Amino acid sequence: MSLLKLTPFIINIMGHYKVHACRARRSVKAKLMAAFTLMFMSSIQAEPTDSNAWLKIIPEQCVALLQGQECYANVELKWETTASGDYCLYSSLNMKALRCWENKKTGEFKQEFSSKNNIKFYLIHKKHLDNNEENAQQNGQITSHNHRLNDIASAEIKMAWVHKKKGKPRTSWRMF
Amino acid sequence: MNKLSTSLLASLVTASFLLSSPVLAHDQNHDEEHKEHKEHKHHKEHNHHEDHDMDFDFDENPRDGFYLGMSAISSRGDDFYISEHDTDEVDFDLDVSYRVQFLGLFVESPGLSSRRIHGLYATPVWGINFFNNDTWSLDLFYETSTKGIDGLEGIQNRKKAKRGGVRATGYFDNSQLQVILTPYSPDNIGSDGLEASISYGHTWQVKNWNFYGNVGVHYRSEEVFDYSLEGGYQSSSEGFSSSDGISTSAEIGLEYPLSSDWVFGSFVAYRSLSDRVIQSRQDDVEDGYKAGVLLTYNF
Repeated sequence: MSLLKLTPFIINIMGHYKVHACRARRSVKAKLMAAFTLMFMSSIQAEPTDSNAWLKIIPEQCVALLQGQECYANVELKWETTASGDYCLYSSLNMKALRCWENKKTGEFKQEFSSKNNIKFYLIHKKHLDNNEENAQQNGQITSHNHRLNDIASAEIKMAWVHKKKGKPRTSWRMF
Repeated sequence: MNKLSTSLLASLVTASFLLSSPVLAHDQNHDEEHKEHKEHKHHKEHNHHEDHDMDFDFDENPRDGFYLGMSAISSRGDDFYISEHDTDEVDFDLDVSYRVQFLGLFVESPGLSSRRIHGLYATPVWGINFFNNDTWSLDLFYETSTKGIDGLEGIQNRKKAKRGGVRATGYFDNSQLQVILTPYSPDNIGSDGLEASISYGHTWQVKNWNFYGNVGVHYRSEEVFDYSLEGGYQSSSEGFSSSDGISTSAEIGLEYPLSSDWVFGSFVAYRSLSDRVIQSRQDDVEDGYKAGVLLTYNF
């Protein structure tokens, strides 16, 4: 597991200790604990991943007129890795692979998508699928949990809108 | 002591104004964050109440906020108020439409780009938004102008005096119903009369294109003076207006979001004149059309 993926976890631990330490008036101890935790986590060997792999997506944003409407986009995806291999492309909309490539290090994919929520795309190396999912993999399926754990590259289309629904103002006030 | 508490209160109010900030809420992440904040606040403040859709609390008024749009409109069609009724000229207008509401008090100026907020028969007004639930919004308002909205002035039914009244707008999933009643007019001589309208709009989505259709009926009692080309503002005492009048409207249009700020639109609008206006005219005009395109930037 890469350090990058563990960062939110580390921050969470730091926040956890910070809160409790403040309550117990032991902020110095909490800071030391957090520092040790950070050092400990840094020493963990990151799982080898293709850090130069990339997945590019066009467009990066899909705009609907009204909030809550389905947004339609013709999506064009391109990916590249440093080493040839068997890769599959997944999206957060479907557990089934959108497409798989064998012994390739580049690929392209085009398809129209529609969604009300952000769509995330993941490029996954087949060898990163764990044993429990071998059957699923054979069927071209994977769980959304493993999208995040196993992807070597990911990209996201963000959903946006012009107007809020039901005549509500586009911009609202917030006090404090 | 009184002086101290007054100045303390004044400081708090000032601080509240200074710390209040507009929140752009037009992407999914931001809106969810804002929604969470609001829900948390609501839960904290009202957890001892039963949940109601109604909301009389101005501090939590869901319509507080603002909309501001600027449109470039190119239109062509009829004009009831010039001698050459059927013109071939293409009109070009720059229109600013807005709605600002704070603690329920609002001021607004409708435009062609804000039909989904302002409705078919809206005019520039100020007022108070005093009731909201999930569907309905009720306002008390007073007009600040009797001028029609840019791009449609030529086929809108002008009147002489500003009016005040109540407006109910129902916002449904893909449609909107608006009922307006204005029984008050300080500018009228004698009885205030009554102006009333009902309009309905529906939106259809095809891919990212939005098509809409609006229809409406508009009523003016005898005391509400229309404007006609030859007679100016009609007065019953001058024999122009001897009855009340009903006119109808219909609009179809489309909108396409080019980005989260820019929207392209197009429209075709129809207005019929009321019988009393038709009778008062020297020509044979009974109705008119206007069509155009617009490009709107939403702030």
